[in-house]
Amino acid sequence: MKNNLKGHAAGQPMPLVDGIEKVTGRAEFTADLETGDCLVGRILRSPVSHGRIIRVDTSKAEALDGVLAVVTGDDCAFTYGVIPIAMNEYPMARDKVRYRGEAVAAVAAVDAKTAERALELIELEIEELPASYTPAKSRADNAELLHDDKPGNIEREVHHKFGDPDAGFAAADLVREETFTCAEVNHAQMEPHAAMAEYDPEREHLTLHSVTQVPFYVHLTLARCLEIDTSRIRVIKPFVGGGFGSRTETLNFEIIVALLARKVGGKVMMRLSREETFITHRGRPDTEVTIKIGLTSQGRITAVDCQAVMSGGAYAGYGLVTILYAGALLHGLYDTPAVKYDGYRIYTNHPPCGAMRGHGTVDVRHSFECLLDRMARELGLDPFAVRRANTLTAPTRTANDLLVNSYGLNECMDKVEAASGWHERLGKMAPGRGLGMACSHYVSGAAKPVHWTGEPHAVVSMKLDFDGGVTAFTGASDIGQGSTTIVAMAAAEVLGIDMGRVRVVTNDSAVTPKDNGSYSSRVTFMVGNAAIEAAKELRQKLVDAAAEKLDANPDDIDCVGETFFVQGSSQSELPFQDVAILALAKEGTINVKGTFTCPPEAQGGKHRGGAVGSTMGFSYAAQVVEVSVDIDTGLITVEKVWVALDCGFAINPLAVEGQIEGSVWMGMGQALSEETHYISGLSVHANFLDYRVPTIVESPDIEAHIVESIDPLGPFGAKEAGEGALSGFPPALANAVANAIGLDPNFLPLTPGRISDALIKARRAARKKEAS
Amino acid sequence: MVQVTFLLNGDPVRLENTSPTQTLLDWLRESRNLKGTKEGCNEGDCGACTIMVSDARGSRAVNACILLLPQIHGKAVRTVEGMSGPAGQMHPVQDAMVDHHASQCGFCTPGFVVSTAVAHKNGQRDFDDQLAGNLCRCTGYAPIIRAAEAAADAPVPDWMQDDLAKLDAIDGTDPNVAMPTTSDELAAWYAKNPDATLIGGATDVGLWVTKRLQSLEKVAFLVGVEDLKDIKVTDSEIRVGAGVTINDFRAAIASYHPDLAEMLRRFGSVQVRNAGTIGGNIANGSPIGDSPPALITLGARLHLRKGDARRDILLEDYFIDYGKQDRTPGEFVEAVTIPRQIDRLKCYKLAKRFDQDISAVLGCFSIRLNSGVVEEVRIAFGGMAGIPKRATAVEAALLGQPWDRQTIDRAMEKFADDFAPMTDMRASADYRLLAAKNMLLRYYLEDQGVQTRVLEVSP
Repeated sequence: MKNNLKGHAAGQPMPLVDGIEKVTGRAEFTADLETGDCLVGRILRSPVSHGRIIRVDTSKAEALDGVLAVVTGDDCAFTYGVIPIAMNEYPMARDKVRYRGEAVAAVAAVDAKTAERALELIELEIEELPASYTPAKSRADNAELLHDDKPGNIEREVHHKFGDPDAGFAAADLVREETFTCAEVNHAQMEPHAAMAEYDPEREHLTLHSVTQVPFYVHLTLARCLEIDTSRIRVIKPFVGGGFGSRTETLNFEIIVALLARKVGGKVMMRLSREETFITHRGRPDTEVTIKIGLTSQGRITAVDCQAVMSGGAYAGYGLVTILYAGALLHGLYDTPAVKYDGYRIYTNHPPCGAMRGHGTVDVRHSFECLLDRMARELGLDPFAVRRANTLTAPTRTANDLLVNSYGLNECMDKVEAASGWHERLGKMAPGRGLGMACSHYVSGAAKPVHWTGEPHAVVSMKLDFDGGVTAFTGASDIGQGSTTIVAMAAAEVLGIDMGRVRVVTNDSAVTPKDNGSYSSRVTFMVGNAAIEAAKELRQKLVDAAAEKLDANPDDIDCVGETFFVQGSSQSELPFQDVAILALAKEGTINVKGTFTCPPEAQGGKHRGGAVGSTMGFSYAAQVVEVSVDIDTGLITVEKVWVALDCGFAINPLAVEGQIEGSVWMGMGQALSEETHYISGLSVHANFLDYRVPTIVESPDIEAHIVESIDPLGPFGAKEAGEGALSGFPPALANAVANAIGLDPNFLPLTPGRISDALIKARRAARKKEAS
Repeated sequence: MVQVTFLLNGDPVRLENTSPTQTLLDWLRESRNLKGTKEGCNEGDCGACTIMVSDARGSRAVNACILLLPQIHGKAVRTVEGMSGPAGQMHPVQDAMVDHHASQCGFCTPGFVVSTAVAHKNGQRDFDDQLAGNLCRCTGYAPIIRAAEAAADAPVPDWMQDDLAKLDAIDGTDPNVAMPTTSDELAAWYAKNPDATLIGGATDVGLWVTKRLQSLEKVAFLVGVEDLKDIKVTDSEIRVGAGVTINDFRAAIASYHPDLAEMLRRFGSVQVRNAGTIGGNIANGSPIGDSPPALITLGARLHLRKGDARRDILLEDYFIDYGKQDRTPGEFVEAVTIPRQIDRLKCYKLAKRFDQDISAVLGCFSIRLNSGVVEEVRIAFGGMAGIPKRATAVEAALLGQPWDRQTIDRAMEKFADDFAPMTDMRASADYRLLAAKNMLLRYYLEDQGVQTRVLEVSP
């Protein structure tokens, strides 16, 4: 399986091109780059949740033998943040600390022990301020403000109205409203954060290796915070051990390690512990969703009204995008003619939230799909039927002006309905067992990036040289999702060559083209298209050379299985290597470039915030979950999942299947066992024992089906595959629990204690009703 | 400073002057430049640092992050780099993991490769158990299982077999740290050094080093005390040496008390069970250790020794109060004995996660009947008090009563007399009390032949 079958790469199950490095332990991650000449960086963190910094005295730490540099908030007066209009975080706190664990100072020392001792010697005096840990407390009249420019501690509020919701609700036969609470969750990627910075004082050059998903954004932030020209900075991304959104913005340690390296004029490695990695956070916020749906008796959606309140943590980060996504992605899955959305992102004294797989949509989708199911029940409609009553027909535009260019949801539903034996089994299962379903979708890349410069969204360059090897250069950040393999496959497919002939060089700003990074499932779509374009240009040069040699019209030349030939003729063939030499003879080393630019019609509406949610193509998913519920203990076991995802076209079916299984599974973690937990702002979940990602034992069989709607703009027709199925799992699970034991939980995660409490409450309520 | 000798990926290694509390993981990465073994948590929770340790007792997967160097003295260690052959040939498990897309980001992968290769070597195919100590955040595990199954029938590569033969070639260097080889030696040493820390599997003490950054001044490693690793079964009792690992105990007890063995399947993870010992789980006095409630329910006795003086106490009397045990300085746990009895034991472990989790409530029940009347009853709980504790009021409400639903209902009311559990992040007080009551009901219903466990995990 190491090489593609003769002929085609795209559409073949392809093991990752860097799989061997990973299974042998040869893959070098950032922490593995540490060498003997590296100083050790450590961060001093705030012991309080909210306070005014009175004094940071580093003199004793600086005097300690073996300490080479100490930095504090005084060393950087520039804010940073991923959204240009909402940068309000300092690498190390200045004036105020706003969450427990916020960086206050840092040291670089000869070894870890010395660095730890130096931290103990830093004298920190903080005047504590009242802290608020919930949106309700933050919004109270007398609440202490986290940021003086944000009254009411409201980071961002969004009020969107599309269509006529009032008329829609008036026309409905059934209107219901429910409030759902969804706990904060964290990415918990397996690799702890790490960054290594080297500063060359002679040339005034900075090199940073980091665990980032967005080397380009890190590059820009370093230039801003260190006041270094971007040309003097080099950012390299080694192997990265997962991201899921935790690294889609520059993180404080990346700037701090650079500040330390510059101060010592040398090399500093900063490895964060698992606890510090958790505290750096950027996960999915604790969200309260109040949702109202209007349905006709046939199940047609007439109107939706949704309010989302997010506990965003202490800084802006990605916050405004999260709160906008939550509203925008109410659209695009079903035909929702009238939608009102009110979103509130609230500052609280917790580590800042950010982007996490399924960014913005998960908790709102959960609430919507749960309520829709309950209303279907009330109307006597099958859960599949109520959803089928509201499907879209592509191409179309949604009420909030999003482009829907391909739509495979119907086929997704057909597949899981049949595979799960839905109609044969529903209602005929053993006590405590049940089935539930839900649908979901996600964007294939944000059509408008946060740093809008007008340049193409993605660039891939490709080189063919004397050795006959094709080298693709890309800034796309492979974080395990397999983007490097996709670039190689795109080149092999277009050029008709063996995968073994293709090399992919990635993520070194000195070598590879700029790329915005791995987030919002943009890479396959945008970078894939750019790679195809580059390969096509290279192919044209080869075809021209072959045509000249074969004395044929270039339009008649094809290349399959590393052989150029005239179509329809079996006589004259030229091996790839020979054609390469012919082409090189004309111009020497061939360098080509492909780009991808999102078409304007995909870039969303003109209303404020209209760019968020806009994309070239949505992925679609449907899933059925089977559960057992133990009513004595409240324990839920997921027995089986059937999921179908419309990814447009599966360029690498092996990786698509892996992404579907992985995203459904991550949704299961959020639904069953994962949540953060703070005591007076202290992260007490910050380890893998108390933050419960599911183990192999409770991970069910996930039967993944691939649906291919062939998107008109997608690379070979492909769309995203790694996020769309996630948000369907929690509601499918909750709906299955309702089916199993008749309990409609309005909370996530569905832990045994919460289920048990809810059952007791439900029994009490039933008794009361009986008595009265 | 200690001297340690071992085999690393087939080659002898002799370390002079190393700290007795240096972890194998740090040494591999920092001193040996073997960076395939990853640090994911540094506290034994994630398995990214899993390595294989072999000796005469076999090969097993262990977490390197909380394994202290003297613990591998005289043993053979293989890391992910040593899973491949000397000429770079891939192990069948490595091949299968590439082909089945079992590695996405690759960070947890070296740990999975080692755990799977150990299972492969040992012929184990219960992958849900063998891999439960390895966390992966990308795959959802299914492709890893597929890879493990695909490789299962491949022959074990030669290089994985060769270590035992080479072990003899390692000279028996004096490690220069207390590493007694008999319990007599340990007793004499500890009596003279009562302020020392005894280290069994280091699954707890390892964290004092990696998390609390303690530098332990005086330590003794018990890994070499062979006579503490014995399990002796007579007509009257099962005597389990303090140095028996949880996994060995689990294997030995399965035919006598299958439900205890089943509960131990959920004790930590394979890596933790391979290192952690029964003696350590009892001696450290944790209120949430999983073995004491079960052993108390079986009426176990604890054998303590200081110098040549020995005494036996009921295990339940060992736990006096939170953080306080009936053990004097210089005294150590030598063994625990379980009286032979007709098996009536059921253990119910309740945690938020099926595996790798600390019990919110662990309820253990052994109730014997005579002509429909409760003749003998022992019930003990973990997670309900500051110590593992018997439910004496509940027991009193059951003893001598007819074995029927009315008795159960009455006894369930007595839990509040026995326990005032606390609310913490594992569970609320109310939930703990409710779950404890329901466990008694479940014991009763199971006894009546009612199917109550909808939660049996099928492999």
